[in-house]
Amino acid sequence: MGVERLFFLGFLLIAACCHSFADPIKIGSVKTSLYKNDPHRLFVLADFGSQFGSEFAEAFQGEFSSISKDCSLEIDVSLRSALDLDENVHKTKMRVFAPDTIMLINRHGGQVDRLGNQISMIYYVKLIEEKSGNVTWEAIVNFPRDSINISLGQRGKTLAIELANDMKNSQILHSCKAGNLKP
Amino acid sequence: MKKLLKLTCVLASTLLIMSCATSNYQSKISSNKDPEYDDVPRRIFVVTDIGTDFGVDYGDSFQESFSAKMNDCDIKTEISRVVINDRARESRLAAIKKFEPNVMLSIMRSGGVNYHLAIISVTYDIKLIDVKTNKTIWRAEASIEKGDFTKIKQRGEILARDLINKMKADRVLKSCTSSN
Repeated sequence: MGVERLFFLGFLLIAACCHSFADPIKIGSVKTSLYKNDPHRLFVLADFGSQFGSEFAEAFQGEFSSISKDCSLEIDVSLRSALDLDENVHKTKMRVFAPDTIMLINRHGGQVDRLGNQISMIYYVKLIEEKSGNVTWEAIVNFPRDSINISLGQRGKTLAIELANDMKNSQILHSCKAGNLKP
Repeated sequence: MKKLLKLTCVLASTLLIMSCATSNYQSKISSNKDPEYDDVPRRIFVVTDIGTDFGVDYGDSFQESFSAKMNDCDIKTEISRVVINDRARESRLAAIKKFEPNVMLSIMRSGGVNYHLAIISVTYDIKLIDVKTNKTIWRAEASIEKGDFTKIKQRGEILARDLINKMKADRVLKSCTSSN
């Protein structure tokens, strides 16, 4: 076996180890006793911050909308930005959409490495019944950035899939016939 | 003894991180301007909590530098600093009324990075609000690292310089012809 071949096999082994040991997304969620009905019209107001950029936020928006439609859920996702000139624009969008349920996604801290690169974020997710204002489901998402070889767009999609899977597992989307997706 | 050793390690790592993280002393600013805004700021009242993060020296140097540079642009400024447990709301409102600004500038800390008990970088949410219409006409997010604590005054000057340069580049301070 040539030296190059050994190097190549070694590289593959290291790559496989790195991939398999990458921190998974951890979601801790609780469905409250106030949960009554499945959402039919969901308005998502997400504030991901500027750490992972618009590519990440827009990929989440696209993927989460697509999954929700597969679950026969009408959905509108509005992305807050630190540079929004009119912060009321989201409220107006929400009023026009007339949701029965609102999902809020907010930053709740995170970690940076020694060079100041964001290596993980914590998101706090809340599902609120529009009519009563009751919080029906809550989740804390510990979201690692993962390898820089994985695009932020891909990570945004992964977050959407993992969040939707957790909601299905929490029996939030009873009417959803589509099964869990693989991130 | 163990505690002392632990504390020494923490301090040493903090200093190491600070020295690594500050190879260039610049703030990072991203911004967004209302394209319809065509007025010229002449009197700016600034409300900020700068100084509650990296200390009074940093806050003072920002305040002095910002006011001086704005003065070079023929823009009158008054800066009101929000402190921890701020109780000056009433007097601030009176000061705003007296100053009669045509725009308000709000610079408030919105995030940053902590290492144990030390703040090593801060992010500010910056809004320029037209008093007449009560609309945000320019918004920015600025981050700055603390870096070498012996040069903390410089950080305040750098933030003031970079912020004004960004406002000039975005054509918010159209009347300002002084060089960057």
